[in-house]
Amino acid sequence: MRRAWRTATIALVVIISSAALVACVNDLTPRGRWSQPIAHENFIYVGNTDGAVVRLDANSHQWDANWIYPFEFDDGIKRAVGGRAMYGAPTISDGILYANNYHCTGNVCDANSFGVLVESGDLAWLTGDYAVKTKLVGTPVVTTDGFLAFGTTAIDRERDPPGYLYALEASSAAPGRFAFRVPLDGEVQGDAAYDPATNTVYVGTDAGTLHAIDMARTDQYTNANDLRVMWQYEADGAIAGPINFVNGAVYFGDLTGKAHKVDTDTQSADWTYTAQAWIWTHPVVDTESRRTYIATLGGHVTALDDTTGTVIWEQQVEGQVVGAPLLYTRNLAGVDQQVIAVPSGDQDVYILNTVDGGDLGAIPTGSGVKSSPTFFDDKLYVHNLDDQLRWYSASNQSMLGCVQLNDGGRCG
Amino acid sequence: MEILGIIWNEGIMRPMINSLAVLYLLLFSNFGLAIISFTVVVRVLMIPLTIRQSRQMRRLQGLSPRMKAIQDKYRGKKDPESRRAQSSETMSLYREVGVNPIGCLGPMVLQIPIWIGFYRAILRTMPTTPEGTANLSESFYSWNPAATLVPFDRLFLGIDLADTVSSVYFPLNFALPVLVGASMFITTKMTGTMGADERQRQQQRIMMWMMPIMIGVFTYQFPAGLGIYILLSNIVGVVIQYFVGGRQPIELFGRMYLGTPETRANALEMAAALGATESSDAPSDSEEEKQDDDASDIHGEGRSRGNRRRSRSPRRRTRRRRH
Repeated sequence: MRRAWRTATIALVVIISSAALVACVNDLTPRGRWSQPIAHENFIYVGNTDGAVVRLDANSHQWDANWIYPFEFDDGIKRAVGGRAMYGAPTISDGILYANNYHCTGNVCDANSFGVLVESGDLAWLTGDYAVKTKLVGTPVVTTDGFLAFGTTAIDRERDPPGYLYALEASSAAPGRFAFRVPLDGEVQGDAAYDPATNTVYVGTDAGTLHAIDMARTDQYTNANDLRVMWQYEADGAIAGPINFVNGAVYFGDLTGKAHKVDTDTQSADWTYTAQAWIWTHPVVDTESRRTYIATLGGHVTALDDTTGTVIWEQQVEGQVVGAPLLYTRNLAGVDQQVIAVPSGDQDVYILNTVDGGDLGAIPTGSGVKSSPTFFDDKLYVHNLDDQLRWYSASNQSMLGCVQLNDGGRCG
Repeated sequence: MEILGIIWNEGIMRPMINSLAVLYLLLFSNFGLAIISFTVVVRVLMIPLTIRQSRQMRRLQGLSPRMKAIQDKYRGKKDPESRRAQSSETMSLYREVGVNPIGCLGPMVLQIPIWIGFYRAILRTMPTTPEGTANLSESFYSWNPAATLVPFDRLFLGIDLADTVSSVYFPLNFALPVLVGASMFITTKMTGTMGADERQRQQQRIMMWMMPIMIGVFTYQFPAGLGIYILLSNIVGVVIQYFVGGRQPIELFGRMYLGTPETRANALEMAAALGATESSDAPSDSEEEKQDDDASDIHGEGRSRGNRRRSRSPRRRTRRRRH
């Protein structure tokens, strides 16, 4: 009997250990699938698990087999070049779609930033003349002076600053050419935000600093790009997620669970709100009702008065909330109703009433969702962790279709 | 399978991650110091397992001459009857001495999830992917104040602990794998047993060299934090073995590998004598302890620290006798 117990224990230990070793690989491999679908001129663009951008016709919901980048030909058919991860959403400006992807072997990374002609899917430019040996996680932004800006993680941790804000030429005669970079005090994993009125990019670092960076095309900063940092704001913890800029204020959360609203004129906080868990995604602002919605990695959703930061309602959903919730108005039996769709890591998108936080049901998504949903043409588009793009009726939340983003096959 | 995941996460991963984080908080936000102190704590907590394994190994080692006698007796006999008889005699010998060759591996096997858990805890506390950072939030206990310090500073002595050893600056990128391999060889040599026949011994000798070389090569691609952990764990293991097993293993090791041919030959004889004395009658722990003392006397040490400690535990011996 004792021997049987011992054998069983040893067997159990071996099984658990094997499973744990396999899981180690998952810990080290960036997988992406956090890329938010983007709607543009009747097409839905999204970054897939191979680090490629693909598109779907929003009317016919047909997969566009000829529009994919980066790709390789396999028996005359375009297929995504695998092995890269894309976390940020694509950005479209002046007929060019911009996106970043990367892959790492161990901690040695190689990233690409590229521009693709929206019309044809042909490559406009690719960072090739210099290497960005880092992780490019966030969504790039295009500035009015024609720069493509994005934050990076460490390039050479032992020699370089822990992060940079990179600016590439987006619309000059030499697109993709390196323009300048601004050293930062930490790694950037989230999206930058852009204020076109002041030509300023806001970016947060994992050192807990919000940087306001002047993106003007000028010789004023030649060889002194650190002077582009106009001002900084110190948060209590790391800023891991994206920044949101709305009406002269910057909104973001940090890994101490604190949400911040920073006035860009006074460069100080209008209010802060402490949640019960880490905040990854940026606060979502409704300028009409003057409310701000905050979601945490612990699944807490809170509506705040945007002016004072006081709590209006609180709700709890299952799973992590990594992607930003989406505000939209749905029409149910002839009545318009504003709701907030909260993507969760628990295989559901939760629909909450913005008035009181009431639970209006959950949309099953097949697997977890860590990207933000997109609302287009009365449909809700959701990119899940199985690398599927699913679309649902915004009115009654029923599923209308599903496509596998790596090969265009139907699913669901 | 889900229950295994829960056991793994709640029983091993979360306690380890939270302990590492608290140590990071206490030790001046230095993850290298947190790894070092945690390694020491884990190895100290595992001393009972080490003692048990050490005893079993020594008993098994002491059986070598008698095992060899059984093998000699049945050498060349390949009929099923002889094989059954040989197997039966071998098992009787194990039963007589109170040794289970597989059970001997038990303590070692039980340590595996701890090593793997620690490996994963290091990787998870210093995540390299966005999902790793997001998932880390689920690993912290709500009371843990260190959770607000994420991301932890990964630099220690100029080394990025999450980066691979191959990326560490020269000459440490080569020195660390060599040191890991060397320390593992010493540990294996100190705790290992030698088989009964020459072929078995030859295989074990190859393994004794191959394992450290393999681990050394693997270390080159491991995260530097893990390399430091394995090195330190081996060093602490040698120190613990010194106290647990008495000085004999270290001294024998020194004499066998660092002395003259004569001293090496003497040391081998002593090792054989030690094994034979221990295995001749080891049914009870009390008698085994007496022999341990005798064996120590062979080396002119009288009472080693480990033996002194054991002989001061009459209650434990009484409890064992009842079994």
